Amino acid sequence: MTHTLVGDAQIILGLSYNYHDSAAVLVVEDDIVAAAQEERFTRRKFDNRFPVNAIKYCIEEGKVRQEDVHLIAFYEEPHLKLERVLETQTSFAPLNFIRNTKRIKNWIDNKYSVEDDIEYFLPRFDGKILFFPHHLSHAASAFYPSPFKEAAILTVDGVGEWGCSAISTGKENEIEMIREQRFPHSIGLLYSTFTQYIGFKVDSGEYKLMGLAPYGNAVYVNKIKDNLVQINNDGSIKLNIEYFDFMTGNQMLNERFCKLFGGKQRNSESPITQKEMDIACSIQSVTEEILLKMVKYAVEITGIKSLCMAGGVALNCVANGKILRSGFIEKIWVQPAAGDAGGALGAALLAAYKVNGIHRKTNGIIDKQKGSLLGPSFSNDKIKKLLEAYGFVYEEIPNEIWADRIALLLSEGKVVALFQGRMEYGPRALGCRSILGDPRVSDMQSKMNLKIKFRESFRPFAPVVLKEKVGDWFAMDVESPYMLLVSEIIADKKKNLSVNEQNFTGIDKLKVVRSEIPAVTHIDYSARIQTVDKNVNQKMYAILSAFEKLTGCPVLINTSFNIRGEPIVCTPFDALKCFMNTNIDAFVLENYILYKENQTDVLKDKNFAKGFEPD
Amino acid sequence: MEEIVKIRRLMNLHNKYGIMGILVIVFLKGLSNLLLSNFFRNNYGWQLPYAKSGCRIICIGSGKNNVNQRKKKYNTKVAEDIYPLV
Repeated sequence: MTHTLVGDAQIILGLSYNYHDSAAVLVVEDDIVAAAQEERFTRRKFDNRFPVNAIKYCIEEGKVRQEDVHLIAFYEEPHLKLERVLETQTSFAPLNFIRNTKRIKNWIDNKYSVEDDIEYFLPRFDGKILFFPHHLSHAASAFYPSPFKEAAILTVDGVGEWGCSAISTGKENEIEMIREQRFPHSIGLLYSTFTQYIGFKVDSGEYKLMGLAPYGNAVYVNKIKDNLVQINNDGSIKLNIEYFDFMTGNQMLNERFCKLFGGKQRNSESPITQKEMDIACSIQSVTEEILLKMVKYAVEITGIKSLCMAGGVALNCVANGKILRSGFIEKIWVQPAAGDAGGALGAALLAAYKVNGIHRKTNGIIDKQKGSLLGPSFSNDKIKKLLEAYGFVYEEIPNEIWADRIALLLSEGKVVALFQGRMEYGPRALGCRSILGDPRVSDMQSKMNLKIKFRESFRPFAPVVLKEKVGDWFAMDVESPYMLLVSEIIADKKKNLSVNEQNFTGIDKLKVVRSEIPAVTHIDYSARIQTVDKNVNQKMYAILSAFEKLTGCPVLINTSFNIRGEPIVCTPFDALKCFMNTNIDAFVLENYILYKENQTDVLKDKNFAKGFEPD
Repeated sequence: MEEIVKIRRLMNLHNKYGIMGILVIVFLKGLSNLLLSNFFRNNYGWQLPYAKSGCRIICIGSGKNNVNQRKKKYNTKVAEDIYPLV
């Protein structure tokens, strides 16, 4: 391996692991060279183990060696976390403390000693290890890559060391945390409790709860506010811990919680009823109310109207859209890897700007996240060798007709998987590991949900649109490059509903064609929008332009290249396995195209879908 | 930037006596919370940050820890092992 870095450029490795979504990030000076989540390599969703594969990729991408790394920055402070774990248990002493002694011992043995892990997995590393507070790492991941010179920063998640949400200010190199709310009064944990009650997996199925919300009515809002959470005008909250079990138990909720909502939690495989939809709608409504109050308070105490957000709750793009439209702020930038994976980036950038003192420059327009395309890429040569080794039937597409060929297939109603360029960092596929479809086809949503993703039919799909055309289709006039803002379809593109259609309830609402692009129009006319900039993702931009030329529509369906419960594909091999075991019609890997009808049974596995635990 | 390497050296948590010390201190703190008032019921609202906006720094090159002493069970591979990137 050649060491191409010159002089004494500071090489920083950011790490997050131990809880959920392990990740590694390589920063040279203040340039984000590489970033990836461990789950993509191990094929285990939200893998929380030491990110050994992600580190290996990062140091290879940066053309450096373990021993070249000057600093390792960890995204939280295990001392403080240990204090919280112990103090929580002792507060429920003596019974729970005795019951949980083994768990505390395991915690200390397995999660406390980060420096031991680093020494074991990176034996040639000989630099310093830096530990930053959890919410400071989130705040840094939101502010430093943003285009803003100064910003109010709101970080909201389940829990870090003690903090569950925090307000900070960012100005040039400096980030200062000014307020925080502490465990257990956490909006993230509240939302996760309802995720469990609805029958989805905690720390995984929260976005499904958000997608389910529009099917219901907010009839439980008062019950939630009267019994579970007190909401103050400044957005601070107080949970009634009598209804929760996450303090000392193995789950989020207890029997009292179930009794409040009239029965046990839903089994994950049983049908979703109107009750679950109403509960989802109610908790989403409460969450939005809390977040809007938090934002208002953050702007009041900082006096700054540019807002940066991170933390798992910042992935609630419905709430983000409402924050943008609230009038409290002028601009918003949300870290695309808003969950704990993004903490690795924040910690690395804190090391760069606060410890190494690199001067932060921004032009106020372009962010430093590079489209979040920070993962591995693969050359045509490597792909060709793999295709030949497995005997796939493929065709090469020259660059001149590459986008036109894909657009033509899409316009014919074909579902096309796309694998090009660097893998995305964060939970969203942004056009490099994506499955694309025609949003004008009314049954495309159910087809893609049931036959390709093998997931619930209610799940909405997101539109990807040319940046310049977003205002022609959606009620939004800002960029949303990371699919983190939700907005409505504009009135011109909506369709009038018959009286009968207006009376549909529950899942039946899916049958209604609501707009010119029904496959990406949720039942409340909303859409989780991704805008594409020519300078950030040229190939995706070319496909959208070619599709518009053919059809007059600059919008496509963009969903992640995976099935239910599977991490987004990382390598061509992962992608080929997914392609061969789903009903995707065509698969484009860089300059090669494969048609399903031409393939043999190579890599087919009837147990493929069973290999991934549903979320 | 706050550097608190010394704290770690004073309270070497890899030393079993250090861990016992911390456990006793936190147990007593928790017990006092329990006796005086319920800590978690009253620990709400916006507050000044618990952790300062600084960082703790450890120099791994000096005073290396003994991994075996921790009896830690590693279930992933070391960085040299490969996940095939093809």
